[in-house]
Amino acid sequence: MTDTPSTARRGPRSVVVTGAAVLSALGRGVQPLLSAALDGVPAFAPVQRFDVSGRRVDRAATHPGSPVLAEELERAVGEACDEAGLSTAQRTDCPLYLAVHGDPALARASVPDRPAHGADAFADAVARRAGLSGTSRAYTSACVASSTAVADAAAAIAHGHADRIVVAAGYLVEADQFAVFDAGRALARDGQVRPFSSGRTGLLLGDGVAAVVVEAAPAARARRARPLALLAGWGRTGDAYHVCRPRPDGAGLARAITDALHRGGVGPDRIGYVNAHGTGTPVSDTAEAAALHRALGDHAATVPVSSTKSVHGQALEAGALLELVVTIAALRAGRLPVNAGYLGPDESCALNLVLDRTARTASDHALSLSTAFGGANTALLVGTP
Amino acid sequence: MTATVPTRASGLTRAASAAGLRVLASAGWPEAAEDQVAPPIAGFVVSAFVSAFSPLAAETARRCLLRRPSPQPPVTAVVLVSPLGDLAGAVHVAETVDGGGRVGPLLFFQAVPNAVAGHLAARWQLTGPVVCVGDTAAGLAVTALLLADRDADEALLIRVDQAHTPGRHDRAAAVLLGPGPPQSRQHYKGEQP
Repeated sequence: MTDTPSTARRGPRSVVVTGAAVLSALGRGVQPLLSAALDGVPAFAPVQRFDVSGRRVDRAATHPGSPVLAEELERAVGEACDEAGLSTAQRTDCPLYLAVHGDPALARASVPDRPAHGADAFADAVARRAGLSGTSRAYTSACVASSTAVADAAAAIAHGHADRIVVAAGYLVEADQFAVFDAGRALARDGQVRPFSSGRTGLLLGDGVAAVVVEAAPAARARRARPLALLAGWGRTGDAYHVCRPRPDGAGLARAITDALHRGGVGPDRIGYVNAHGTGTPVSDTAEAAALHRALGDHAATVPVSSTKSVHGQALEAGALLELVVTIAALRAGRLPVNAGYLGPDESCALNLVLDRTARTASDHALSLSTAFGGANTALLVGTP
Repeated sequence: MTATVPTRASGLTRAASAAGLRVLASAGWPEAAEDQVAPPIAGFVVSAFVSAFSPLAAETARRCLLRRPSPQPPVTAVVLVSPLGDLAGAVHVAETVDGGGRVGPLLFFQAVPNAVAGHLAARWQLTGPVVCVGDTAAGLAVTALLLADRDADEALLIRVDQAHTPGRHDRAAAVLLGPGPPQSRQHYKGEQP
């Protein structure tokens, strides 16, 4: 690991992840989530948290009970900082980049109280409760909110603007977003998410609360912290194509992938796994497959690909961070998450999908991809430290 | 946080300049007494019945981009700042859900600020990153890094503040930003709404 991997379009410092924590439908912690992803066991079940009797689809991947977002974010930030070995004083110096849809209380707050429920105020409150500095910011860019936050944290740290930044994200399945996704006919009618598969019918929502400590490699080394992963590269681009549909040729996402590889100084042959955005939506998966072929060339046909959304669901603003944590854990385990829900090949998605529970990798780099409404694309490149 | 909220173009221009960014063009809403209702956007729910968030962003951005003093560079980012997001849209969905109703299908994509950012990107061929954040200081810091790392040649930064109490007016401002001279670039810690 070098401190000057490439100065091309990035700052000179290497960036690592030194702590991670997660809550998902599979439970608290990375291990139950990783186990389910490696075994390809989906967590979808009828929603009990709120009334879905008037909806076309009644399934999601939810943690038992009704967890409270602010409390779960505080817990995740604390656990990630604990794993990173940060002292109270070191936490006090940490900014928080928080990816959320907004303050969950905003839409039902009384009119006079609404100004106090901004996403920025919510991020400030989470930072204070978690013992961070309070110099927080909120990202609300839908399904790329948390990956954009990670990319921005990495860029700032690479330039020396900060030694460490906590990135957190949270979405807990609730009635309002469930209603709009149901109304938009985006939810999978058959109750399963089947990324890149024939017969796929859409996405399903899932709980996700996650936090990571992003840190300058020299700063981590100075305090003898053991990195979980190298945050080797990042890319973010726009399609300039449509309000909510991706470019069919995948050109925008391909540029994000290329940027991430360039910043990491690695070629497509070094990528041993891609955790794809893979929503299970017909148009989106086809465009993503096109992007992978455009960016990775011949390697796109052989690099193992899966979408862990097929297990934990679509966690919206938190999805990309949840998937980054899974990707890092899989790389460390040397095993590959299964693309669950697979029924058969789709000619428009010619990818080497991970369908075997025993799939292993000795590769040292993996990509985690995300796309969002508005044509927003991100690619995060992680490596073994 | 300070008490100053730069929702007028002049405030956003000052904040961007303080962040070491070059302001190429700016616009606001309202700019004149005639600015009562922003023009609707094709494909979005009729704004008067649900929310003016997206039309406000689109019209303010349009004015700003039309004032561009130089040809459009290859890559322009879209950075949308809104502490409360599409407040009116969120309240509409919540009231519909609580009343046992069904929300309109177009609200599926309008529920996130990315939607109008994507509309702008497609309309004006802005191929840079699309980023939505909750406060102006964050928007300017994001912009500064995108420009410094050449993820974009320019950035269109839009701030939208819907009225949250009856009788108040919606406001929006937009600035088109380029990198400032090297000596003026700094890590922005100044004015924040």
